[in-house]
Amino acid sequence: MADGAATTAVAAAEAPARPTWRRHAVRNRNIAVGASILAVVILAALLANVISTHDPRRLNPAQRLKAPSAANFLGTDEFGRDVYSLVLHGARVSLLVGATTMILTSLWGIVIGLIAGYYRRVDMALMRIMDGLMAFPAILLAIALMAARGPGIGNVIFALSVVYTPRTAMLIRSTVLTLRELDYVQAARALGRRDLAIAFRHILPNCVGPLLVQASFIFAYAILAEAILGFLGVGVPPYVPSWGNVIASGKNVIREAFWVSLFPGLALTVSGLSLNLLGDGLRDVLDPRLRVQ
Amino acid sequence: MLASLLGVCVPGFWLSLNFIYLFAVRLGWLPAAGYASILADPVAALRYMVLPAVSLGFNQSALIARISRSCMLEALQQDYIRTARAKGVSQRSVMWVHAFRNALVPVVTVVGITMAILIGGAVVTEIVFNIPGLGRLIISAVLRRDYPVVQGVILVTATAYVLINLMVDVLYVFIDPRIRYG
Repeated sequence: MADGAATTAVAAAEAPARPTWRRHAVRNRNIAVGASILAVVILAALLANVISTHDPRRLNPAQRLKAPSAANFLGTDEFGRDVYSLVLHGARVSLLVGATTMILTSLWGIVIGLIAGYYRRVDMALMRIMDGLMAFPAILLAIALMAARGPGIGNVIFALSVVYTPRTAMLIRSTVLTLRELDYVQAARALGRRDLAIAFRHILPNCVGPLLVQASFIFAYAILAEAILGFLGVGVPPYVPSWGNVIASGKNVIREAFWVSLFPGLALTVSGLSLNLLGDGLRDVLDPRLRVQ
Repeated sequence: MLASLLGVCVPGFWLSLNFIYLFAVRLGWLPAAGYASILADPVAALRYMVLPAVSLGFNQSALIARISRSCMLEALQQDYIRTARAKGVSQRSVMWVHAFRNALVPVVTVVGITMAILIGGAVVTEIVFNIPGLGRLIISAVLRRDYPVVQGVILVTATAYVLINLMVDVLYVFIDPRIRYG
């Protein structure tokens, strides 16, 4: 944070009328860098059909294991598929799984967390179920669910949502527990607002900050977990181009062709980095306690 | 801290593959995969363990670095640090005696959890390096629907988890004498 002091000085000089978190977000370097990288990845996924040079599903045994060249920017794999096109189309699967998992875990997390935090009677039961789900190592639980339900994008999303929902639910619950004792919630209750209205109009908006931070990390975890499932052969089916599948096929030919597993892994790392930067930046902005430096 | 952030984001299984390519295929310094009992042949066992241990520890050490950093930052903002500086304690002493020791409790907690996770959670690494450990055992059991084996592995892992957490709880007392049980 070399230019942190400079930014603060500029901010003080301009004397903004009301430093809302959006204003801070625009200035935050982590958010700027993370969001721009993520935007590039999303753009690459959306335009995969336009900017890829080959059909990623077309097998071309005559051209197998070719090193990166002008014809195949990132080389070809053991079946002669173009790695550059595979990586681009793999971004679609990864982002689809990541985004959908993030949305589903947030929705379920909000519902379970609000109920558990607000109605103390069901809290015990709900949280013990969440504890039970958290007791398994995340990836192991996902593998078990995939083994039970079979390969497929829908099943990957389902398995990862089940695995990551408890964290969000616990976060929302703990936020609700502190919020529900605050004076403005008591005031709303004294004014006769119904529970649902209090939950959605008064409590939920204040959970948005922690939720956004958590969601960006869940996005990153989900992309990584999807790749691990694909790598182990229990994720999306092998003929679908996904980063995990390509890395797995590169594992078999690591001695002859390192590029097959290198480039999808790089894409995975860069996407994870952008989401983690985004999450870190959002946390700096949304948690005023840490905004001291 | 960018390095540690990168360390958190790099997928461990992909790192293992690249390590295998670099150190086993290209340079030929270490065996690509396999396992030797440490009792039968300690030297070979160590050579087999280097790559899996480094690639598995890569993510976790980055994680611990990030947590240590935030704990140190928090500890350095406390009043007793200002007091220590005011009474003329040297910078090194402030860092190590006053700040670090107080920042250590959450760090030790995370190290304990990490150890527990690594005992059962080294699934992918064990598969990449072909190590006959608990992780590979549970994967093959899950894929074959061999539920008694799954239950057994989970039980062993859970027991290790509980024991390690117990040790961490005991360690707290030595790190921070203010913590008392009873």
